[in-house]
Amino acid sequence: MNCNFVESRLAAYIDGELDGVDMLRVRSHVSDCRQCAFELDSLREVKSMLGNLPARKPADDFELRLLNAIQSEDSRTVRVARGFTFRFGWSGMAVAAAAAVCAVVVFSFNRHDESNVATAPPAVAPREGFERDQIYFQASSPLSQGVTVSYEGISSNR
Amino acid sequence: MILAGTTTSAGENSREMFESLLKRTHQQAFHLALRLTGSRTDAEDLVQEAFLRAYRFFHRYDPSLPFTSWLYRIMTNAYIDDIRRRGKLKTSSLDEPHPETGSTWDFPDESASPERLVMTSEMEAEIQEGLNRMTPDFRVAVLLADIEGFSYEEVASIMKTSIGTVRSRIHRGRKQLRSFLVKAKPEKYKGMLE
Ligand SMILES: [Zn+2]
Repeated sequence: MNCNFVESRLAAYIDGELDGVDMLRVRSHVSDCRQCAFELDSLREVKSMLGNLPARKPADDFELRLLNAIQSEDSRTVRVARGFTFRFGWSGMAVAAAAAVCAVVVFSFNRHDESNVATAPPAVAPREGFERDQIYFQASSPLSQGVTVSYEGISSNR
Repeated sequence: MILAGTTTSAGENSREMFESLLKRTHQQAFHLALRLTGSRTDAEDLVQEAFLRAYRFFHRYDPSLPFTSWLYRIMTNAYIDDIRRRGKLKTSSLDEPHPETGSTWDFPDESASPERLVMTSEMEAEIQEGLNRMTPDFRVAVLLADIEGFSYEEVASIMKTSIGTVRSRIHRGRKQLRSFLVKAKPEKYKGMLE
């Protein structure tokens, strides 16, 4: 059992995070090695200094400010968890898309002869099978930045 | 394409639940954020950002796990992201003495044995300065273990890394803090090094 092996495990030893065998190895080594025993005491002191840092409280109105921030978040966006709203949104979009196609067709009839109608853009039906939050959230996780409403990045999320 | 307006009753329930979790955990989250950032303003901003992100994704929260573990994962991620974005990931400043913690304080009686150090506000400031100069990943691991009392397994889960990495970060982080203290205030802390 050399000092390097023991030294690299002292923090875990202090924290009770070694398995039984290593725990006994370290314990037996520090009982014989003055240098490692000193290091153990010193690192214990560092841990206790951190643990003794006084708990600091936020400003009195902090809770209220947080609650307000949550509220304004809520009024800004209907969150994606609400399936009903989403489905309504999607069917609304489908109607809007269909209406747009009709408009293009009508517009084409009005302005051009029939041969040009064939060049009207094809109807793009919403693809099925997407999960709703893929549509509204580019950031698919609370660990990534912000919320972007975009089609881009959908495929990279899953 | 953001849909404004309606709120369902399910939404109300989850907001009530979220608000009650917020009320119970925001002070503790603030304390962790304060030790992470070293500034009350930055800590408040960080906590607010974490709660907002948590709220946006509350439908993904698994209630069988402690809320704070989930919140701290979001918070420490936001914190590390922010540091990386600002390109502040440096530790070289550990070697420089802090301009404000020069050598004006003198506690000769406390230098002999580390066991006899008693927490003073000066000491709190010195430890905080040492934390500020610690490698950010080490600082997160050390604070989760030593301020919040999480096990290495929990820290690994919060930081999305292995237990071996956590063990190493905590070990190296505590040693960085000790090195800083001994360099900044040798007359006070030299007893911590042989
Ligand atoms: Zn040894």
